[in-house]
Amino acid sequence: MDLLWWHWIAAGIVLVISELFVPMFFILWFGVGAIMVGVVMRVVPLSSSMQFFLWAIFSIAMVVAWFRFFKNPDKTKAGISKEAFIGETGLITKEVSAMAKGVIRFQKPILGSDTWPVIADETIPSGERAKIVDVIGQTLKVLKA
Amino acid sequence: MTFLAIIFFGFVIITVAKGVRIVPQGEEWVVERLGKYHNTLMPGLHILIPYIDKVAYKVPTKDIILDIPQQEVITKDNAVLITNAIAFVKVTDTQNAVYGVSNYELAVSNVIQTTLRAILGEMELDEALSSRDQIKAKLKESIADNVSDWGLTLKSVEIQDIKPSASMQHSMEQQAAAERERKAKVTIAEGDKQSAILQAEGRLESAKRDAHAQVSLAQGTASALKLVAEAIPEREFPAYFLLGEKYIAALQEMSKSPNGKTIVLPADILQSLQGMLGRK
Repeated sequence: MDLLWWHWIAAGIVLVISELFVPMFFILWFGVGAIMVGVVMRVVPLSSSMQFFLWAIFSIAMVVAWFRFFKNPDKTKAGISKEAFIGETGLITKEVSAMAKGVIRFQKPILGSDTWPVIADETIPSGERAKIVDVIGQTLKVLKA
Repeated sequence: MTFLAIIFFGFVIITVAKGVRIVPQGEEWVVERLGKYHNTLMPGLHILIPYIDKVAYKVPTKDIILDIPQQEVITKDNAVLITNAIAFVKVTDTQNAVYGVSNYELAVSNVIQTTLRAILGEMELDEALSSRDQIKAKLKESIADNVSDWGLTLKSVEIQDIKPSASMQHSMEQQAAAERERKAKVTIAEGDKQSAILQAEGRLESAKRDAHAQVSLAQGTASALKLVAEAIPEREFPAYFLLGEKYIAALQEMSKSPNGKTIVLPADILQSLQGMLGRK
């Protein structure tokens, strides 16, 4: 059975549409690749193995191009493990040193509490500002802000 | 040739399907490369190396709501309490949550259960029933050390129910009823006592005033008599006249009365009056 150029385009469109029903975000590229193969065949007749090969190449090229040029910025940090809290600044209310835990107070509650035990690699006297660099269970790791 | 091309194409499809991964918001995926931890995928689109990388765990990073099952706890004073709790936990370190403990949800709920038992075991019954906030704070504090190795942060633990067992509740109700009964009786007795005191005070006061009144009356009489006695020696006659007038008026009054009676009067009224006034 020989595939005609419009077979490719039709199959490509079907694949693109099927992406709507199976949102896995990879069928789309094969669909687009198939449409491109169809467009190429309209101009240059190809052997069937060459058609499939081209399809594979185009599909991979599309994926690579997509990742190269498409940036999907984070719009929210909600529901992320700890990135949402890293960088928040608070006020040290009990001195923290490399050997002893201190206490920090935030203006708005973080992880369900506005005061937290903190650890740090340096000594931060109370009254100084500090920012979160890590969340370790029920303690926060801070740096002088 | 065509067959080979189709095979090749199938290979490409599978490869791309395994290589392109979309992590939904609210989850983080842990990737292992040849069985070792490689990295953690944040929400969004990612490319993995197919056949070498494997998504080993899909960890939800939203707050997890853990229902801590109901349990019986014995307090310090040997009362049986039935209590359950609810915990809000968040995975803050995906690697530790996956590799630090085999099943973090089960682990946390068990730790909370045992810790709750320990905390309530150190409390008296009445204290346990009335100080939830204290229990909560202690619970959070004690669990903290355990959960930090598991990459979890305990946001809050809420005690849902603390209720005494049925027999305990019955005796507590009896106690409360008895207490109210006692209060009622005491109140009644207090009332009685107060009223007795007030009545006695009233009597005392009235007696005092009666005495005062009698004294005043006597004083008044004495002064009146004094005045009369002072007035009489110079002018006896007007006094006799007044007396006589009164005497006659009294007689008139008596004769008007409907019931007839015999009245004996001293005929010699002047003499007898003089006798009363100490005259000869």
